[in-house]
Amino acid sequence: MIQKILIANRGEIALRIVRACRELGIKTLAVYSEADVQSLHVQLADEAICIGGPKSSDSYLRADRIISAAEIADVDAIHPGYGFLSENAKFAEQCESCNIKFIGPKSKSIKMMGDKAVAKDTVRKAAVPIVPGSDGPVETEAEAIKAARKIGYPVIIKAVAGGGGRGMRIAHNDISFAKEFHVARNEAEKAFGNGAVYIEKYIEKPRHIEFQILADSHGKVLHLGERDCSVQRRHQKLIEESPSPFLRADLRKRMGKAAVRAAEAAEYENAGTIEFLVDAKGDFYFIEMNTRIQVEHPVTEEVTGIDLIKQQIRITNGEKLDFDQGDIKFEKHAIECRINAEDPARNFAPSPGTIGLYYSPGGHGVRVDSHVYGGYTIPPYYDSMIGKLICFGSTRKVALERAYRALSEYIIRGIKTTIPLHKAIMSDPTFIEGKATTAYMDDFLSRTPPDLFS
Amino acid sequence: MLMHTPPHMLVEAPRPAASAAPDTMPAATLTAVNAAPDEPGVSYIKSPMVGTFYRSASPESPPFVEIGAKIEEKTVICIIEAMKIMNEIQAETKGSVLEVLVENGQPVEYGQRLYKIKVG
Repeated sequence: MIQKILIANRGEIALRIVRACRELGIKTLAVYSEADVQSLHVQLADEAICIGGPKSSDSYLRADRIISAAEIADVDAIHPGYGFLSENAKFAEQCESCNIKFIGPKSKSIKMMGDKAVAKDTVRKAAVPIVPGSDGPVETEAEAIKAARKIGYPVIIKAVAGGGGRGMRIAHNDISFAKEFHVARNEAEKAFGNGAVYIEKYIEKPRHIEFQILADSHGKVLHLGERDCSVQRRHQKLIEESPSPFLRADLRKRMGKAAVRAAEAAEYENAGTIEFLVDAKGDFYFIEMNTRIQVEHPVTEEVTGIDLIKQQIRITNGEKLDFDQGDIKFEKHAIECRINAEDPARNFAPSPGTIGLYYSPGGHGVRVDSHVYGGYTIPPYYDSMIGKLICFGSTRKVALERAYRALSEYIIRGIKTTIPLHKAIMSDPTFIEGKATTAYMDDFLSRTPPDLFS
Repeated sequence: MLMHTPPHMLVEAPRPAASAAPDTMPAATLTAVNAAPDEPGVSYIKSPMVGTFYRSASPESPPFVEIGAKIEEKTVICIIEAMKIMNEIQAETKGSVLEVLVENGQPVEYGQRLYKIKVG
């Protein structure tokens, strides 16, 4: 029986985990860097241990200090959140060998799905459609160009150890391919310490539609529907919604079944997400599996009514999922706007600093997941996301209008945020009509004057 | 490296009355413990890791340093046990020990003050 959980993360997700633990009567231990002493979850947790200096590499990525803290405070389990060590198979293994439960899948599933080429191969064998590509990494330029011609241009060159939209280059012909191939390898080596790349067909203007998976340790694997995350800038998601305005019931059913098969092929346990690209014809292709809880999990929580963090803890406790696929209902439409401390009028320049007046929206169908407050200073060492606004209602129209209303009420003074950008998107006809693909943001920004956001 | 927290930014940590057992780490210990202002000629040796603090090499041995002991950069002043490894911690400063700020067997966090030192 888990009685104490160490939260190996920070910001809004750490607060989210503290809240779930509180409701379950589980004690919380926050580990934090010196830059996060004033963080809300550190103040709210039952216990707190400082694990290092401000830089992530000196704190949140220090597996040794985190496990040391877990041992001296006698915790039963560690929740890694998202990012940081959440998809670090070695960290999960260390927890396993120290007899500390890792709230997530087994380390072998993380390893399997962490290598993008292995992941594709694994799900392909489970009859899950994958993007046509090289079978595994390509070693030489000659091999790579041969693969590119076989697949047919345009192609995308991806880092084997990449993910989260990083380490990717597109080529439209032989000439640009040679250059992009070498650039991609160099970038991959620098960013991930592994220069291996593979080639895939580049699907033009696809929608990014992902399926939420929950799997217990007794063999039950379910999906909780999709999230459409097509509104992205430089491969970073800005807005996520569910259901997808593009999917019809039959395609949803087929994709849901494929997502479950993919998770089963990975011998998956706990919460995870299968990501697909969907083209205009409705053909879908597996791109990767995220073996962790995701930023946008609240969208699924509001649509289905299922608390994903609590389910993660229950699954780690060895409990069976007490519902079946047919019990999961998709009752609402939900849309999430990621609020970042960035200035959309100045090319999204980061805007750390101290928040003055802070007023978050409320009312029917409005949820705010944020760790910031009036007087809080955003440290410059971490990512710029300061909160998530999730609005939901009985139809997509209600959810969108509600999001616009809530964004209009939201006051964050002292820093620049992406709130005005989200308001503009909520009023944009292309988005309102449900026509946004992954090409949407570039198009929207090119036809929208930047001073609309100031 | 001392954490200076401007008074207007201190968030009062809500502390439910009887919840903190003596051997648990209260939330945000670092600000409370390290709140004492700097005195001239005085410095603090801080923990470079998370673990359990021991004053001597073994239960039977004498402490590495006592109050008044003269220390140099390479003087071993304590052991911090982390992940089953006994790490010898060096002073990295020259001076003499004024105060021992933690107890033998106490869990310590990164940056926690261990010894008060008179510099020089």
